[in-house]
Amino acid sequence: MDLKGSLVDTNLRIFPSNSLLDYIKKLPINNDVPLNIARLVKGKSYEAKRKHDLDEEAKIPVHFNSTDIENLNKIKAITKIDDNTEEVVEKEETEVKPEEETVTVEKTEDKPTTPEKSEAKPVTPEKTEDTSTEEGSPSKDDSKEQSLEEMKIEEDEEEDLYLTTSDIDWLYIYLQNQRKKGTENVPYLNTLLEGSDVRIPKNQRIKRNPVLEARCVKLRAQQEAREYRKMTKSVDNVRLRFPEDSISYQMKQLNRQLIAIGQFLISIFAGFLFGFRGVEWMVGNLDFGFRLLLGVMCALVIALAEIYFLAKKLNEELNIPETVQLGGPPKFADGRHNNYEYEPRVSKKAIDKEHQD
Amino acid sequence: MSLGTAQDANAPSVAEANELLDKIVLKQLHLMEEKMRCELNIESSIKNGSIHLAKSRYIMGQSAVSTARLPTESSADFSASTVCETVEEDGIKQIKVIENDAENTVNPLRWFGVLVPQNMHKAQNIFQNTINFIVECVNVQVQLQTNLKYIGMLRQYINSVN
Repeated sequence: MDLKGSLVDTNLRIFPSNSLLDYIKKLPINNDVPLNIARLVKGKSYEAKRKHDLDEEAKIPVHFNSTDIENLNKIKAITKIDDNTEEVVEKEETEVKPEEETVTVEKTEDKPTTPEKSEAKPVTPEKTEDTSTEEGSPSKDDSKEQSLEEMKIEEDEEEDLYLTTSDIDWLYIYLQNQRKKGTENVPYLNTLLEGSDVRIPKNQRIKRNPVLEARCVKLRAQQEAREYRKMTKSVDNVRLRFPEDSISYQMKQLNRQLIAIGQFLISIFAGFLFGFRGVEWMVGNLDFGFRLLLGVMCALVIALAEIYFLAKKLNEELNIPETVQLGGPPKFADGRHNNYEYEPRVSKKAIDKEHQD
Repeated sequence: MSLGTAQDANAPSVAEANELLDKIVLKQLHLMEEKMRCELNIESSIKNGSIHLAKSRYIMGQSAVSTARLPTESSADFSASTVCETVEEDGIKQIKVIENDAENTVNPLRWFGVLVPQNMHKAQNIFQNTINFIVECVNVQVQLQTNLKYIGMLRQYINSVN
């Protein structure tokens, strides 16, 4: 009965393959390197001293320029002459490939869940600036870890270092620059990324509150008991004639209907008076016959509307809530609250509600 | 690096193909994140709409707002009030929402009565908005799939040239 919380951060987690790791380890680590990459090289405790944000680099979107599209089309023409037939095969092929894309396809169906936050928050240089928070963070993680110990092996994976998309962006730009400088044997990003594991962040699982659960069970049991009593009323000699035959029930019924009829009459009379006298007071002297006609007309209109409500009111039955014990069979009642404690309260509530209606 | 010229003078070199592949892979990653954001949008708006629907159900009573009020197979036909259409931009297929101006559209609110609570109107608006999010999501998905195709194609190309 657990619920799934919604996603908190939408960053992909890229767990680098060994070849990528090897390459990254060769990079010169300076303050321009994103925190995650630096951490992969120098270990988890590495803190960068970067002042400026990565954002302006990270936000550069990759766009195809016209030559790219041209090249793409050329390649398309070369590799696939028969576009349609191969397309299907291609698609199936890639769908089976154990790569990042397959994860997206599955993602909508099942989002397994783990705690969202992890200590290796992508790019937060501000946080690293003062050392006190740095000291504080590991202990916080520890406590969190303890509280979520049942979260299986996934917890361990959480602890691993990963890259985010902005890091890959940076790597791409870095490789581009290297190539421009004319460095030999610069690997391509796609070969580097090959074999890397791309994971989708997972939803948080929200445990159902046990108090709520207990309450639901109790209420359901009460509801069922009420239905059962209603159902068995006609076969139980004791209750068979109970509310309907008592004088108080009859009197109450009578009262209700009399009041309803009284209200009906009063409003019609008031309507007639308005037509008969009120209009004259407003406009000035009127003929007696005309006044009478006006009064009758007003009364008629009001009577029409009132009849609807009268019919509704007379139609409904007076239901007296049962004052006897409600509540489920003893097996539903839990030890802490025993049945007799809360029942009177429940039935009183029902009576209150009756009057409000 | 210039092995590609063997096939065709015009054919792009391996380096170009590789760079292209880099770009597509990078774009793919961004698209995946974007898709997740879209899905979050959809989730939150559906949640909001459902809450409004539940409120109106509370106001009007359970039987007044229920599946029993929805049209069945035997009821009269009507056309969809919103339809989608596929357009092609820069070789990328995209889906666009357009309002259907056919005559026999119906307002779904009428199924639940003439004077429906304000919450119902709000729910309707929110759900109508959700269509836009969904279409956005579908567009991203389409792009993801085409990119997948391109990645496979480029791989094949690079392998064949090598």
